[in-house]
Amino acid sequence: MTERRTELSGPHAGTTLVVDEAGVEDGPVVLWLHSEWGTYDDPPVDASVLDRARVITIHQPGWGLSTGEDHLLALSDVALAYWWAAEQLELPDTLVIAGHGIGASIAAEMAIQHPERVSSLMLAAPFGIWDDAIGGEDFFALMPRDVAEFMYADTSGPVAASQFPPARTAHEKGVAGIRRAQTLGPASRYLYPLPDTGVAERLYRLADTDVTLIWGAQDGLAPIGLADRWIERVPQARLVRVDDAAHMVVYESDALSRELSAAVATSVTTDSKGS
Amino acid sequence: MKSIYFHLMPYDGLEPDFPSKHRSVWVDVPPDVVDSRRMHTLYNDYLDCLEYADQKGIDGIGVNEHHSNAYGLMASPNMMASALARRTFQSALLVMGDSIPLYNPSIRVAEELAMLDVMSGGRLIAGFPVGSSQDTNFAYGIPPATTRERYREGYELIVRAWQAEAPFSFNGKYNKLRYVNPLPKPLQQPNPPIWTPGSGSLETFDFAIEHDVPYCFLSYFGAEFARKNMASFWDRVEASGLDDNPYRAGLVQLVFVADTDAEAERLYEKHVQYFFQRCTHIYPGLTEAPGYKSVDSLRAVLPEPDAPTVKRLDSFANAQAYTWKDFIDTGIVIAGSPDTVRERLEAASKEMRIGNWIQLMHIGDMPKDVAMNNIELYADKVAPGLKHLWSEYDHPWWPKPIADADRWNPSVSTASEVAS
Repeated sequence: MTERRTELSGPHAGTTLVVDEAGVEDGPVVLWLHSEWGTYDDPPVDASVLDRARVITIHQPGWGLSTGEDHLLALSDVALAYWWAAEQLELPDTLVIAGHGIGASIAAEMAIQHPERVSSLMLAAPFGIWDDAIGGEDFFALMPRDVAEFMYADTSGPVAASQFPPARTAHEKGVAGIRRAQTLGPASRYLYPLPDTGVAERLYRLADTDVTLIWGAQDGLAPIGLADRWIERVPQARLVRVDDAAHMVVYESDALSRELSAAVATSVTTDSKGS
Repeated sequence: MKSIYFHLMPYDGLEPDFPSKHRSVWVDVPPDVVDSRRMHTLYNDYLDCLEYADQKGIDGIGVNEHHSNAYGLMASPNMMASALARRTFQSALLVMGDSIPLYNPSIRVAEELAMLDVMSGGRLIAGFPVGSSQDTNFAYGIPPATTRERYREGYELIVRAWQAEAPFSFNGKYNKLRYVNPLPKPLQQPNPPIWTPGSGSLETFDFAIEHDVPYCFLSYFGAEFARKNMASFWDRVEASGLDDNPYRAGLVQLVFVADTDAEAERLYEKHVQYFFQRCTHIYPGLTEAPGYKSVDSLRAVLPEPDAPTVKRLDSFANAQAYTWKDFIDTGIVIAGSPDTVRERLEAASKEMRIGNWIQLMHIGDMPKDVAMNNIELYADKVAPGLKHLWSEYDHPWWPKPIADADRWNPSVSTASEVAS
């Protein structure tokens, strides 16, 4: 999917932020932030988006390509680093920002910091608000072999098979364990022991932001009941419920593409510094 | 060589069907499986055993730290060590935890261990584990990716606090203190000996080497399965340019002594089976939170793509089915007559250059009289034959208590006058 890759030096000395671009160079910009499970064939969007938008995927620090996670103590620090990246890339003043899982949590923090720069905010299964009555499986305490039922609506379907192939040999099990450490390890900085990032106290900043929540009805990690907690604080937010999906809703359905396609169509690129 | 009588303080009443009825003995163990009335007796029995080890002249006695764990009910090692400091007089006191990342600010560890060192007359060894993932991450909620960073910072703060001659400020990432001034300072200056236990991660090897302190390999699978780890440790020691003093290395070992090998089986097998069949039943997802070990450490043990899929002999899953013979043959347990035990310990010491043996001489549901018998036989018939081992080396990481003449004497009042 990657068509262009940029390695930004920074934002802190000695660190690197890796950014991939896909789609059309002169289209409205969609900033895509991957989930705690890392990247697969990202961005998980189809031609309806890629033919019209410039989709930028930031490889989040700590997940493999980008570095500097030690400097990013809170998700708000990560969000600031990504705004820095937007400046380095000379992105337009307004963006569509979309994220999944922890990526959605960061997307929300970016919008909280600069609501005037976000034309549309898409949050797929965001973490950040915790409710004892709703809960959610502790994915930090699940073995790779046990986590699939909470992530996928169809645990034997093609998405689950490609993202979580059964580990049969000792080597494959070891690789699965390494991938678990590479993805959930950095996520633990922000979502551990409970995925309560305190965002609930900051969501008032999104009072005038176009917010779409995309949620898999079978999500066992961030149960869809949490959508109500977000909407209580962002009443204008629109919930897109996907019945045949779980936590990996952006891969199990085309909901993200549909919503992004609509958002891109109405997005107006203003003050494009790069043009 | 040094022998340390180490205790887990396990619960002795787990039912045989515990593994089939419950997910894990650790972290989310159902609280109703542990009867606090029974623990009243067990805690006191266990302290009696540790005191007896001191009376019998065993070099050290050791306590450890676990949380939400039915086989390790010592949530506060300092509390137990405090009881022991009052009622033991000769043995070194190995406290291993405190698990530094669990304490914020870490200055609390500096304070309590200094108190223990003072109370005990300078007998403290401060064991500083990173802490198991079960305790540190799952039971105490420390984010795994920050665990080692917190450990390093806390370690630095504690050592500086012990050594500082004046109050100072500490601006760490996790500990921010305007005034660091713990009192009293430890009796052993500049600080009590520090040991670093680990479970084989490269980071802990290197930390011990970097700080020139002993590394102790903590495993329930004994010396035989520690060979690769200890070899790797010594390779790194050599590469660092440090000497090969065997007292740099410590190892946990289950040790049971009887009059004969056959008697050892009769006395101890059921308690070893209790431990490996019930106490080590842990849901694998709770074994290690992602991020607790570095990716480099995981890669270091990644099997080759064509490696056969075999169950490791040193796995809890396999050990559940082991017979006494299996435990003996694999070296998970060193047990038998005094000669058998001494010979196997001596051989392992020499092969792996182990100076410090951290011995689990109580295990599982072993009753007090059996445990006492084990202590007596080890102290009287095994330890004397091992005293000479490594005697050509100094042990710079062993406590240096104050002179007997300066020790507190309970028969002498410290008041100069009693008001009338």
